[in-house]
Amino acid sequence: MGKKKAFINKKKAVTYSLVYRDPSEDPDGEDGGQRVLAPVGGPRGLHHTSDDYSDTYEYEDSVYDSEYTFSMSRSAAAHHDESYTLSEERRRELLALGFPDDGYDYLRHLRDLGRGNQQQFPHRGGAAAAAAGGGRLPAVETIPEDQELTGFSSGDDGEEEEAGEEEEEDFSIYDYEQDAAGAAGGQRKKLDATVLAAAAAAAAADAGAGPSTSGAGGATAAAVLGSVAGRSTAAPPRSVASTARTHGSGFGPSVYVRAARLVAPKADVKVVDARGLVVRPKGHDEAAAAAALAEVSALSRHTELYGTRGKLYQARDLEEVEKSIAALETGNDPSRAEEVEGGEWADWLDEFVANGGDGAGTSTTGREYGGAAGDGDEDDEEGGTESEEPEEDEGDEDEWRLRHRRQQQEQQQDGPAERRRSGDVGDAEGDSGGPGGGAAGVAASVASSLWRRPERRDRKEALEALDVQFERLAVEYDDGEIGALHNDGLYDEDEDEDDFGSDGDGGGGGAAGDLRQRGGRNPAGAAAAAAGVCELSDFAHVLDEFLTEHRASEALEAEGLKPLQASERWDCESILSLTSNLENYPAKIVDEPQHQHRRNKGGVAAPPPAAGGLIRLSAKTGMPVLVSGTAAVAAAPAGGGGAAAVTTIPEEAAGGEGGEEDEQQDTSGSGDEQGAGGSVLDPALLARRKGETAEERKARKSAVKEARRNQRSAKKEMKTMFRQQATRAQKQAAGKSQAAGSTYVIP
Amino acid sequence: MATKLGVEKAGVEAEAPQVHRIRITLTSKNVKNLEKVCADLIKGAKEKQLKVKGPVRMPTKVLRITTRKAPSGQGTNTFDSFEMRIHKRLIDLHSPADVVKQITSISIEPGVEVEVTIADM
Repeated sequence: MGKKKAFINKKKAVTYSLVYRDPSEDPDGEDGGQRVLAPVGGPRGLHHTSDDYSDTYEYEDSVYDSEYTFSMSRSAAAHHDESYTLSEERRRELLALGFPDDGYDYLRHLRDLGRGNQQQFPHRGGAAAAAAGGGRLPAVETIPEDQELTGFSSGDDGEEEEAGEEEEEDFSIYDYEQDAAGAAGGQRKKLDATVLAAAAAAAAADAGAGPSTSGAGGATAAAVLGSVAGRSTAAPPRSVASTARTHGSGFGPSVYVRAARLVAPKADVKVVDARGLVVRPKGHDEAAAAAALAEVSALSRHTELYGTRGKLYQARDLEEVEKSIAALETGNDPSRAEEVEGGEWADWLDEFVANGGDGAGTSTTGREYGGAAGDGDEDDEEGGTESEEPEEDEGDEDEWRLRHRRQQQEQQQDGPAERRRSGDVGDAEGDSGGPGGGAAGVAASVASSLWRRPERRDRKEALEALDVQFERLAVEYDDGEIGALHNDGLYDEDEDEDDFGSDGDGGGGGAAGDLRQRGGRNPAGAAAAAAGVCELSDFAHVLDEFLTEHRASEALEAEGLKPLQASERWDCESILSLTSNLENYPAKIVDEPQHQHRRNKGGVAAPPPAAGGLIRLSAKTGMPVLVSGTAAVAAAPAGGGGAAAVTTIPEEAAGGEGGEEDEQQDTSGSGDEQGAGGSVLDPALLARRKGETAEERKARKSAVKEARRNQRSAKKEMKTMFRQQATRAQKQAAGKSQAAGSTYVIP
Repeated sequence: MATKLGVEKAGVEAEAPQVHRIRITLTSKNVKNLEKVCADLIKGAKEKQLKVKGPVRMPTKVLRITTRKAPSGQGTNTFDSFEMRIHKRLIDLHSPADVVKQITSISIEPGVEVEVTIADM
């Protein structure tokens, strides 16, 4: 644009851009709607003072209530403006916070907690904080000085100093007022009250608003607030944000002031009365295990075992063991001894099992014993249960064992050789041993015996617990009832019933079925009894349901049907939506012109024009498009001119749909010849008149022949011309499209 | 100027409004909207009896990108040509700034970017 004198001197002009309004601004005063003119950056626009425009562009006053006209969109280059200082502390602060070092004061956009977005006065902050005397704080406040901070617990109205120090201690990470920090640093030794209070106030305010939720912080702030008036060092509460903004001091702890009173964090441990816990004596397992091993294993060697109280008694014979066990059971009280015959043993055990382990009676006694014995004797004497109690389920073994343990604990008199280890093991194996198990009961920890040599006693303490566990596990896995859960699916319930009957040692395959069966049969007793080991029986019914369900679906699938899930139901809408426009090109259905049916009737190559008399050329070939109806006045008769020249032929040839075949084309000179529609000659010619003479007939016939000849030649001519035109038009069209390419205009 | 921004509007209007040279630059990809906004602005300015010049139509910038259609190199070499047209209009006014602000804030179509440059006087 040629401007003789520039209309606007860009270097001296201020540019504003129309932007959408910041939603945080107060929209009431604005009548500008959604958009607002905001100054656009550019260093050249900012050299002049803002005062020239501050009065004229008063639309800014509702936006910014400060002296600044430049606030939001100031660029980095603007910081040479004297009213915009990025002081060194501020810069450090910014860096510490992670903001990029581009000279822009991002902290001005920090919002005060509870107060919203107020425009700050950066020029008042920063270095101004380092005023003389302890703690001249800037005028920027988030909470008015005399406003009581409610909502905090008032319980801690302790001395401000203390509390302040406390807060300092806790929240020393927050910003310190520079002067306070300086002053505190200078007077650290003295710990001046005022200084501390000031710092405390600063920190307390931070604490109040900071992440700490302790009531003490808030109370401190309140307390400080309350007494602020009386102090020369006014310390209005500030939020972290405002502090950071206005003081520009280092963000990290700049002063460490030791707290007078340390506050321990709340312990989150639960106090548990340990008297209720039972401590397993240390020497127990090891000694008993060793003893058991020595005795029980086939490979073991006989060695002397010593417990803490001397030599352990080792029973060698079955009878001895039996005796000791019996003694244990009865509590060494012969009055309670039960004589159980061999034959009754099974019944006795069943009863025992069914009653859930002998009821509460023994357990309470056991507990009593345990309580009485808890103080003193917990050492060597432990009872191993007689391994020869085979029919007993493992479920109540635990309880029984427990009971016996306590009993053992309290009876130290005769020092029976109770080998708990062997008892444990024996119990476990006793189950699997089943009815046959008499002799097998003695055998036990084969698993561990191999590696448990006496030489390993040097590491007994370390291994004892592990050994216990291992033994138990090993024995459990020998048990046929446990561990074969994965065979569940293979067996039907009925099947199990048939195959395994009531066999105790199910062995590998039918273990689960056996389990279920047992659970099913004797739910109360068996479940309770087997509680310790076979939790599986509890889930037996769940398992069954799942299996039946699964089998049902399997059956369906075998038949080729898939069970229809509700989510898979199809309807036409969802089916249709599966087709996409990538494959389908739905187009508007237009009424197809009927010319499709009238294609080349009578073999005339030239297409008839449209009913309206307009001939449309096809874009592709450049030739007229076949439209319904009339005879064509096509390109050809126009002397072979370009097809493009003939676009619209007036409706001279039209005259109705029906008789257009009779329309005359000037294809040939033959006068009588008519109609592009067909080869129909003049009916007059063809008709034979009555009474025709020979000459007439000859003439007529020759005329007809002539006519036909002409027609033929005309037709041929037309055809060739049409072909030529078509090819020419095609070439043109192809050339055009290739040259043009495809252009899309982006809207 | 002694007055600061805190002065309310009444105070400012009491003085004689200072007339500035103002250039409004409108850019858009959409010609129709742009022309509409231009017409509105000029109409508004004329209603306020401001001296208006414009709209001056700058030449349209066409950003054209021609890429091959095929993601791979195989096939006939067909090309897509994409373009984006940027239209720019200028309107010059002599008016006080507040009037301009009113005018510009009234009618703005989406997609039209408005920039107001005020000459320093």
